[in-house]
Order: sequence, then structure tokens, then C-alpha cells
Amino acid sequence: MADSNRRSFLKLAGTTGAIALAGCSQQGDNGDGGSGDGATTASSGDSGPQTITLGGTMSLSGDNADLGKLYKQAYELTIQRINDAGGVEGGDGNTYELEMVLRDDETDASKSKRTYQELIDSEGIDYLLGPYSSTVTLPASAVAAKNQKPMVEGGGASPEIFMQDNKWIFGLLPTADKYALSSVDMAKAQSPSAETAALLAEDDTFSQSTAKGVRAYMDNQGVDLVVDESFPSGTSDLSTNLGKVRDSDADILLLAAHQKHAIVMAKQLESQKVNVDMAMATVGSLNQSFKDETGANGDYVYGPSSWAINADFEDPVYGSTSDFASAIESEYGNTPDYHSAAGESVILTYMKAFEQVDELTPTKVRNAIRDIEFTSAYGNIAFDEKGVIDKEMLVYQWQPENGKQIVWPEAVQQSAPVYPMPDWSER
Amino acid sequence: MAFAQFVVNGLLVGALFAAVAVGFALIWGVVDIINLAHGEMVMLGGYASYWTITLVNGSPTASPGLALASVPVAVAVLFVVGYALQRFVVSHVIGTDLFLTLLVTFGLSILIQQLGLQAFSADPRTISVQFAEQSLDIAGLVVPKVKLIAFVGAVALTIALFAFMKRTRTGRAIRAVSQNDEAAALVGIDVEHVRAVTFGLSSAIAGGAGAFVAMILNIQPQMGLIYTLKSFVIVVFGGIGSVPGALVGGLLLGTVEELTAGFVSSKWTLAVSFTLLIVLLVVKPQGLFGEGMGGEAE
Repeated sequence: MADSNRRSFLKLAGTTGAIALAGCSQQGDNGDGGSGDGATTASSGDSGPQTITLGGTMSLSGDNADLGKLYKQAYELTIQRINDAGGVEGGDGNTYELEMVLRDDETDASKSKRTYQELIDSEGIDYLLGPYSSTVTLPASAVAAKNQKPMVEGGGASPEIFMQDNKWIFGLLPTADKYALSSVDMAKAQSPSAETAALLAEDDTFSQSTAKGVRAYMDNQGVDLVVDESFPSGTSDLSTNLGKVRDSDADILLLAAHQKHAIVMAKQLESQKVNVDMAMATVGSLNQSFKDETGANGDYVYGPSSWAINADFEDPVYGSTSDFASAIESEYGNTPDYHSAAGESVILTYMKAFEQVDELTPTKVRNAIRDIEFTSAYGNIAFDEKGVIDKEMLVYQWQPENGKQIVWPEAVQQSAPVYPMPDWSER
Repeated sequence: MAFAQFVVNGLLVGALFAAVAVGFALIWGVVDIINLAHGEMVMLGGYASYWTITLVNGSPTASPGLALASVPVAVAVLFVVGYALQRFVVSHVIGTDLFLTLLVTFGLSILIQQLGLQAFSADPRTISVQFAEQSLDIAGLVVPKVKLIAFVGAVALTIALFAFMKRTRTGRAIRAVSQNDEAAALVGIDVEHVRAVTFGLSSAIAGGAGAFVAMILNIQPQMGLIYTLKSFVIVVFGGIGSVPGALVGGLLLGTVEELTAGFVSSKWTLAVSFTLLIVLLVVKPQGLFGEGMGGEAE
């Protein structure tokens, strides 16, 4: 740990040096990204590699310091690995080393906002790393837009961040409207393929957002929505709504709600004699406590998750998800979670974009990020038109013999889905 | 057909609302307290039954017999809880400002919720009652067995309370206190004890209903509010202090809610129930069975 602190210090010192140097030897980048252009690409001598500096703030102290630490680890280690492997092969033909300036925002939105402006004005940072949490990210993303610098973030998932018509923000955490989509993909890919669906949604913001996303998606995919009901959060009995699902003969059932409703669904599917090919709950169906409470009724129920340490995706820097996990563990002594993986992919998103642009300017890099498509330890990375990751969620299923299994996407599945779920009369 | 199914669903769940509301009506009628912690008694009853079954079986999975046997445990535990609450806390604010009693019971409700969160965590829990076949098919209507048991149990609890009030000495004493506490004291009734017994009975029935809620739905430390709210609606429907009124009110509310969910949308259930309440307050302010505000307990 002491060693890594020392390394961070050296890196920061190096960065400061590079920036000071940049102040003297502007490269004359004629991009349209504002006055700071070029200051981040500094030559450190004729023969040595050039440097690109990424900068941002993070919750290194304050309420979210424990999570902020995970991003810092992932940023640092990924940058180090990229540089150790020879740096980034820029699309402009140059090779770049990456550097990072990461300031503590104390989990304070106004401090973070101020610091981003400082990083742009006095440090000449062109490529911004997002902070942690939606509350801090929203004002920070406004700074990025105002100064026309791209910001890639792995710490803010509120749809509000992406509803500001901000063309400079890219988020790696899936927003609620993405939660149920890959379950629909999975059901469509099975035999018999799902053609009709029932959607039961709690009337809170998160669940309604999930419902809205999947409604539009199913429309697009040609899945016929035969039951579409919302219910108040206080509703504890789903019998009548499940009765509608039974009478509609829907192929799949999606419940956009929380854990208490997931439990009631699992119980009442049997008592209401509802036989569907897939029953999925967006939140709360993957905890052990769900299975403990529902027992055999919880078998075959599906649920989505944004990331899993054992869903092994290929990664251009570490090799694979499991290699990333062991690298973080051996370097820092803690197990990575989805925050770490999203942080890693923030850096990789920039790396991939730098590889694709013929000239290093904020606008060109931003445009490259829009079209980016690659796989990392975090999963498939691509962004939709609002800048939100178009991430395929993992789909889990509780299986009687194997327990909770990743069943989708096929590339990382631990077991094939038991699809259709057996009828109640056969269990 | 759909209509009949929605009515059946409504009656099955309405009986539980009724059993909860009966206790609420009793306290309101006799002790003249609107007990905002009544929903928490339902919650505690649910946990009493849940933990009894878990202790016996090692898991919250029970045969119908064991599940039923856990109901008297919940009833007994909650009687003690209710008695103690009245004796040691609520009795101090009786006869004072209505606002103060609301405040005290509201405070109790928050306290019990917080203690519940500490003790049981926020995870929802449920009791799984094992049947070979979960539901009956009666003339094309789906009737879950566990709900049928809960329906019968809830109605039985309500009738038992009604009989207790009518036939026993304590029941008569409760009614005497509700009519005139000073006169009751003059003829030798221990008013404080009777009030505490009433609070105990009210909580006991709510606890019994809570055990059934744990079997057909699930329980959580913060589940109480909706039951307190529904009880309020039902009691105003049925008439304050009226046990038969609460029973009919509960069944009616359940049916109206399920018909609304079935034919319109679940989103509208609360709006429809409260609209009905307002209409009823305008047309028949004393409720369907009530004697008006402050009416005697039957």
C-alpha cells in the first residue's frame, strides 16, 4: 500500500511536471474544444513518448470515500498497465503515455464542480474522468458541457444526468430503463421464442423507468405486451394482477418492482396457477434472502445484474474479467466490485477513443466515444444516443440443482437457462 | 367470470383487513384513542408467528397445522404487548388532548419500526405453508388454500371478539367503560385494567391477522402504515366502535379494491377507496353501522 502511495505521488509529481512543460511548449492543436486544447498532450522530449492527461475528482474522503477508493484503484492500475505495455497507439500515429490528475472532492458536489473548472482552466485537462454518485456527477457533467470537454463516468446512474441534452457526458452504469432488456433478448432467443409478455410495475420512479424502457424495447422487438399494469408501492397482494397474467396466456412475465413484491410474486405464481415460460423480477430476486424466503417457489425465477466477477469477458488490458479481479486483489488486497470494473472501463473507453481519432481534440475524441464498441472486464461497452452505456445486463436464474447461475449472455453463461420454467403441476 | 374472481379475491383479502380494523375500532370506541401504532401490532404478530415456525422447524416453512398453531402464539404475545403499552405508556395521555394521544401513538409506531429494523433487518420475510396443491378450483375460480384458511381465521377472530364482548364479564366491563368510565369505576370496575385489557385484545387480534399476512403475503418492519390507514378507512366505513361494522367494512374495502384493480387498474385502488370514504362521510357520517362519533362499542 505504501508502495502504491509512493507511486501515486510520483505520478502526480510527473503529471505536474508534464503540465508545467506543456505550459511552455504548446503543441498548437487546432481542435474545437476550447482554449485548453493541446495542453494535455505534452511532448516530454524528442524521442520519448507524448503524454495525455486525464483528470477528474473523486470521493476520496467524505460519505462515499470507501467506494471512491475503488475507482481510484481501478484508474491507477489500468493506466499503469497501459503504460507498462507501451502506452496508447494513437490513431494519429503517435504513441502516448497516460497520466492522471485525480483530486479529492470530499463527496461534495459544489467542490467537485469547482475543481473540474480548475482542472480545465489551470491544468489544461481536456479529457475528464467522472466523479462518484449521481448527485456529484450531475453538476460536474454541466462543467464538461460548458467547456466542451468529454467526460466519461462510471459513478452516476440517475437518468437526470442524461436528460440535459448534454453531448459531452458518457455514463458506464446502466440506467433503470436498461434493466429488463437483456431478459427480453434471452426469452426471444429461446425455444419456443417469446411472443407475448406481461409487465407488472410498481409506481415508484425507478420501477416506472424500468417499465418504460422495456415497453419501448418490446415494441421494437415485436413482443406483444398483453398485460401492462402498474400498482402502488403499498400494494402487498398481486393476486388480481397475476390472475390477469394467467388469463392472458403471456409467454413471459416481467415484474418491475422491489424485493417484497418479488417474494409475493414467487409465492402467488403458484397459488394463482400462473404458468409462464419466464418470470423475471428486476430488483431483489437475486439476493440470498429472496431464495431463503421463497424456498422452492423461488426456483427458476430470473433477475438482472450489471456485472459479476465470474462473468468472464475478454479485456484488452488485463486479458479477462477474472484477470482484472486478481490484479486488483493482488495490488490492493480487496475484491473488486462493479464500481471497480466501471472505473477500469472509463480509462479503456478513452484508450479506445484515442486509438481511433486521426487528431487528438476533445471533439474528435467525443465523436469517437459515441461510436465505440469493445469488450472489457466490465462487459460490452457501447453508448446510446444519450450517452448511457448500451449494456447488456447479465441475466441470472435460480436453478434447483446449481443455485444462482448466469444464464445470459451465452458467451459468459454458467448454465443454460431452464426455459420454459416447468409448469406448477410438474414441479 | 372475471367479476366473480375479483370479488372472491377481494373477500379473501378483505377479511384480513377486517380483523385488523376490528381491533382499531375497539380501541377507538372504548379507550377513545386513535392508535397510529396499530399497524405495528400486525407487523409484530407476523414476526411472532414467523419466528415461532422458524424455531420449531429450522426454516419458515410449515405444514398447515404448524402454521395455524403459530397464530395463538402471535395472539398471546401481542396481547401482552398491547396490555403493557396501554398500562405503561398510553394510559398517561388518556383524557388529554386528542393531538397528544396521536403524537404518542405515532411516536410508538416509529419506535417499534426502528426496533424492528434493528432486530429483524429490512429484509421482507414470509411463511411458506406447504400444500400438495396450493389452490382449489371452485367452479372455475382460483381459491388459494392458505388464503381460505386466513379468511376463516380472520372471520373467526372477529366473531370471537364479538362474542367475548357480548357474553363475558370482562366484555361487559369493557362496554361499561366505553359508555361511562366514571360510572363504571363507581360500580367497582378497575377502569385502568379494563382499558389495558381492551388494548391487549385489540393488539392480539391485529397480531393474529399479522400471522396470516405473513403466510399469504410477506412482512417487513415498515409494513404497518398501510394497515393503520386501511383500518382508519374501514372503521369510518363501518362506524366507530362497531365490530360488525368493521367486518363488513373490511370485506367491502377488499372487494372494492380488487374490483378496481381488476377492471380499472391497481393504480386507482387507493384513490377509489378514499373517494368512497369521503362520499360516505358526506352522506352517512356515522358510518354504515355506527352510532356516530364516540358511539359505544358493541
